[in-house]
Amino acid sequence: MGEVIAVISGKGGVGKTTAVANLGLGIAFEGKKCALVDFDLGQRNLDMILGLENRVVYDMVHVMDGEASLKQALVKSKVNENLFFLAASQTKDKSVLESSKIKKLIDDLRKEYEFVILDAPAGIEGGFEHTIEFADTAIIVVNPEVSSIRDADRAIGILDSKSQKVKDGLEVKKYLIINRIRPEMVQTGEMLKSSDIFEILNIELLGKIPEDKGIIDASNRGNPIILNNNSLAGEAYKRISARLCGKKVPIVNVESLHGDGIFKKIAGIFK
Amino acid sequence: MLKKRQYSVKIYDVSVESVEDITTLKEFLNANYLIFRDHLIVLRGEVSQDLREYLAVKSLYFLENVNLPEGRSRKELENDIDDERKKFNLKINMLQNQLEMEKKKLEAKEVELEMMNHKQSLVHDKMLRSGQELNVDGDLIALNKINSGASIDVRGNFIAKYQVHGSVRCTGRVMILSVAPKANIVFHGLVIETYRFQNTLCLVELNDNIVSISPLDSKDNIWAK
Repeated sequence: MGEVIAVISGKGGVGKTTAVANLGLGIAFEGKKCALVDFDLGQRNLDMILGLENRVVYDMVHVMDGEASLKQALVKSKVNENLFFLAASQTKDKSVLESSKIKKLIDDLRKEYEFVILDAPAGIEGGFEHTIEFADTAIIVVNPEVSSIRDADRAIGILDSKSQKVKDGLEVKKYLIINRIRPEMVQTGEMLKSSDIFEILNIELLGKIPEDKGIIDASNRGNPIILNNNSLAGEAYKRISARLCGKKVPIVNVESLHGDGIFKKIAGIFK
Repeated sequence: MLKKRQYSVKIYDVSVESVEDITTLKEFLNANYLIFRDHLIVLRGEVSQDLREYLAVKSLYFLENVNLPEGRSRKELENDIDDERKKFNLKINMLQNQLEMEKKKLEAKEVELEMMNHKQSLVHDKMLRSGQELNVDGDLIALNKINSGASIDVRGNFIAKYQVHGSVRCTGRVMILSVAPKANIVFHGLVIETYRFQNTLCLVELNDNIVSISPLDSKDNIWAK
């Protein structure tokens, strides 16, 4: 039975979908079968980031309504045959989601794949609740800024009260990814430190990802940054994927990685 | 064995003073014979032999100058019954009101009792995240973090182990807490500016409607570490 991971954030625009695409590829490169499901109904974009937009024929709603089989709807990745993707519907919105249908879909995916990663919509409304309902694990993606952290805190609170596992008396595993860290800003004290963030959220740290200008271009081209061997963010995603697959990879302190040069560092000291 | 029977008879009570009266009476009885056949006629005044014979011939029952109990007309009777009924209803209303009042008293007592039961202290050891609320009727000891966006409403006293980032409303006698600069602290409806806590564990008290905030010396207590 595979592990179902919901990637959530509360706030929008923190890099959930990018994380899902990169972690999916990272896990696939680790040799594990992985399925990605876009739960952001009505606003799908995971297909674009994966570069699979022109291969989508059937979406998640078609599968749930029995109009297409799971096999027909799952799109295989161009770069790795371990990775499959199920698109969100663009025409239907979140109101079509029903717990029983979602459970069936997830249970079917769990039988076939070692990892099932669900890309949650931003916010904490119905679509979000459906995404976390049957997840075993949640990955919370935050940016080092107060609004992102408060929204994530709220999302964790809801996760702890509405997930099926919690209702069954079990615990949902929760991991934190801090995304878009700008080392030079952390060093000058303009950006929240990682230690402050997990002090507030009080969950286990899965990884830290530095801000990388290459991500926008990677998303636009449909080539996730993890495929770029010269990217610090891509390296960070590789480490996180390995950790998810059970490998012991130490957390790299990305804040002290490069900065934007020695002069800025010196300027930071005098600030 | 006493044989008894109780029944009503209609009485036609009439006084005759003169010969004309007797003539008039005879004419009246003739005309209404069918009605007065079953009546008991009570005659008052000088009754002539002539009238007695007339009544005997007509086989009408009569008595002369007797004292009978004072009867009442139907209307009077109905009025009496009405009066009785009103009195009765009034009494029922009074009793009902009394019952209602007793019930209310009992309910109030139950509520009071319930409140007393609820006024128990609570030790909360779970983290309070953004959006989560905690309402406590009694005292509260918070052993875990209170994050920004979380809110606590305590009717009793409040003690927090960690620095409070969220919002606290307290109407107890004392609070012991340290607060983050962005926390929202309201004590007895009074907003307390966070700089007054000077980033340290403080005792907040209400004395004669004045809120006093005094830092607690870390040597003397186990909480401030």
